[in-house]
Amino acid sequence: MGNTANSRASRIVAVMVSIVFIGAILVPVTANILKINPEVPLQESDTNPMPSFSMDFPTVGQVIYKLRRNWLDRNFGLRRVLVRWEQLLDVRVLKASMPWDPVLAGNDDWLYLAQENPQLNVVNDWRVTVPLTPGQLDIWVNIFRTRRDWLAEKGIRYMVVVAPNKVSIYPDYIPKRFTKARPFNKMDQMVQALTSAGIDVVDLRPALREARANGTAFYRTDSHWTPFGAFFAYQEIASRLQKYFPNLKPAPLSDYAVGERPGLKGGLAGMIAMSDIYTENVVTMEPLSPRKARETTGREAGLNEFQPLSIYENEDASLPRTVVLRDSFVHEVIPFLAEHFSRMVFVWPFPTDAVHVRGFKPQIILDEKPDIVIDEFVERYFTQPPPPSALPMEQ
Amino acid sequence: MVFSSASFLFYFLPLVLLLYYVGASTLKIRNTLLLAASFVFYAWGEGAYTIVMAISILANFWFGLWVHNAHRTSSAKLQIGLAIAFNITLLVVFKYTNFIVDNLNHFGVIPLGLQPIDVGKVHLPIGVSFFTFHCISYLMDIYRRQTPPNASLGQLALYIALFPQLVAGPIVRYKDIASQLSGRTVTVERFAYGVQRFVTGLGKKVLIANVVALPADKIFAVPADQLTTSVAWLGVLYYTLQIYFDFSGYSDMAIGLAHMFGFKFLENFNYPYISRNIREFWRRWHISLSTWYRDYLYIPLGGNRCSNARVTFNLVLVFFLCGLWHGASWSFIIWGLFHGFFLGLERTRFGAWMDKAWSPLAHAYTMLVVMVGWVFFRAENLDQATAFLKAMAGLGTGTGMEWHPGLFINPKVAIVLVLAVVGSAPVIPWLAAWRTRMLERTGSFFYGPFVDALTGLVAMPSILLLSCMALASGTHNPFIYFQF
Repeated sequence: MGNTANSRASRIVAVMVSIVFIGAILVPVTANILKINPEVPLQESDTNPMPSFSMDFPTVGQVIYKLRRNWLDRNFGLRRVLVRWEQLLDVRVLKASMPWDPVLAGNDDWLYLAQENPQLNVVNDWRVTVPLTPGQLDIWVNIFRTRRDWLAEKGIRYMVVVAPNKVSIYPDYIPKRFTKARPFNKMDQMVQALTSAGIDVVDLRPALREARANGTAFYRTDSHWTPFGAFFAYQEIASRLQKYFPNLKPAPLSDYAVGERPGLKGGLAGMIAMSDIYTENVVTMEPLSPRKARETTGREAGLNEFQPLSIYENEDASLPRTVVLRDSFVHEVIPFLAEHFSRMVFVWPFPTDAVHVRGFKPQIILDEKPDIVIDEFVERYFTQPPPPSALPMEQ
Repeated sequence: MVFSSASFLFYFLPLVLLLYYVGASTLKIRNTLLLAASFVFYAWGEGAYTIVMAISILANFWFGLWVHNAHRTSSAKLQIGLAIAFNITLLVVFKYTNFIVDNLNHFGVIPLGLQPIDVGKVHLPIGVSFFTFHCISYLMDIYRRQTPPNASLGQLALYIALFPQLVAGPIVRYKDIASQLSGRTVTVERFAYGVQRFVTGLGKKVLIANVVALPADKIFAVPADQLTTSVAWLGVLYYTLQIYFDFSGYSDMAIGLAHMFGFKFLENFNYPYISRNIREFWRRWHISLSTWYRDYLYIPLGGNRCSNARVTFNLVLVFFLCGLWHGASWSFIIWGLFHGFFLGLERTRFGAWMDKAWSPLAHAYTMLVVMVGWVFFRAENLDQATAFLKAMAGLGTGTGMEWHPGLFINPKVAIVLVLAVVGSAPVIPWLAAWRTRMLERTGSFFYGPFVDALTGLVAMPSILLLSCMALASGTHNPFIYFQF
């Protein structure tokens, strides 16, 4: 082929390269205009929602502010499709999932919560790269001791309940190279320190290991325990409550029909946009006799609370009353435990983070006058180093 | 706004290209449009601090005329001195105030038992180091009578604020671009070349630098007492590749964008990691900065035409200031002095000996110096740098139980690592030269348009798609060089 023909062909290629590039960078806007928005099973929160547009100065200012604060970067056309493709490439093709990602894809399609926020990495916690120091343990003991003593002055008992991290019960699906750095972990340290200080701590790890031995204790594609696992947790909590309430008898497993049905939307699978690939059945626990406890009206969530304050009541007024400071793990336990209390008030304060200790809600406790306060944490919030502002009681 | 963001790639760039090629019919309108776009680009991130750049442009427009007019009656030394003092003051106020005050407090005020000085946190406007150096280049070129001042405020503003080079360079000399401000053309071949340079740079930044940045960041976050030799070296290796692909990727994007709008910037990198010595490294690394220092500081100080001692002093001074330019901290100063020391050393018999040394030994020496230097550059402070260097020297206290290399590598990182190491060598220029030779010899379609199509219509779209996927998915996107 001659030089002239080659030059002409190269020019055609240059035209095509330019067209392809301009076409490619116009695709997202075109998709927005034409409202092309394929369904992607991606679970994410919108931390920067755009206000409804109106031509007043404050709104226009707010819109410009939002645009400058990465709104366009999180809302361009087909973004969710691209996120999905990147996750497929990284997790499924290249097997590049790492503990510094929000979700660690383990062996046999087991997913683990990993980097929850900049300060909290669940996998590193499990590896125990940095154990709690004696000083940090002292601060935590002091916080829980103060809570216990404050309640004791009012004649109220106090029990701390810790739901294990999934990785504590199912460590064997973590890839082998993520080795444990120490033979103990921070949960061991905390439980030992609090027990030594005379604080009633319920470590649910043995109960969940028993659940695992008998069935599915945690979901493979979610960070939470199954109702089956929750039932074993309930039995352990109820057994430990017996020392305060001798009439409280845990229900046996035979009171329930354990089953499965398809359709679990695993939170961890959603976080990596693959809930259609990481599928799993919902575990069900159907009671074989009617429930006595009923949910009554709650109230709106207050400052530093996640969800409405929910209340369960039982007609038998002789049963004890309790306030439960909870997180998401209590959800599956409620149907079992509510049968044993005449009134059960659930409060969901924000979890411990790098700045705050989880709230204790003294006013609600004073209003409710419970027989016992149950302070439930999942392990990953229970074993955080105390924030510098840690105070013994909510101010 | 950064180039490797959806807001730039999918909104800003298409809109500016559309307005430039469809909506603007004359060069004057196109220049005005590019200037307006550049201010939007800057204000998008810096908001009210855009006024700092605007003041700098206005002042330097006037300084340029002042220096030029002063030449009629004098040497204009006073005028150029005051004009440069203004620019340096601007840089010092916004970039070094906190560093100066902190050191004054630490070494003077507090030991004397006085109340520490508190000036609050001074905001560092992005790119202030770059546009200040652009302005000084403009003034110096006028002072040296190498170019007349630009009589158009708009054209000068466009030179200083032109968005492809505004926030992270390259540092474009005024005399190199002056004629392009008043006349330029873009052919379709040139536009396509610009596209390919831009996409190549985007890929270098997003698909290589960002991937190795993650494990690098994790390793540099390992507590000092848990560092092991292997992990520390792995961290420095990652960072060595990250900073090169990040910054050279940005320069590629800037050069590519410039071509799309008809400008031609000089190259900023030339495979620095194949250097045989530190002198060569600085001829290949951040070329626009090293030549700026050479032409506006090193040569005026006497350059190589003085005694050995004076030349060494000049080198150390230049690299002290080079380190300080990169950031207001002792780590950057030490990094600069470290390089200055080796440049001085290479002027002794050691340099002559290294020049004749076995090639792998010379490369190993250069990379060792460069990588050790990067530890100062990357570390949060001198304590961390020291701990890191101790670990690299085998004196770390880590047991390997907490952190071992296997924790920082996966198949993706491994693939990228290989690509990065190979890409640090001039493999593509070798292939391009071979292809040109074959084309000249055979005239074959295969070595001509076919290869063009393969790169432009297969490789580039693939890189663009993979980059967009990574951009959509990732949040780790700050350019290292934005802080300078």
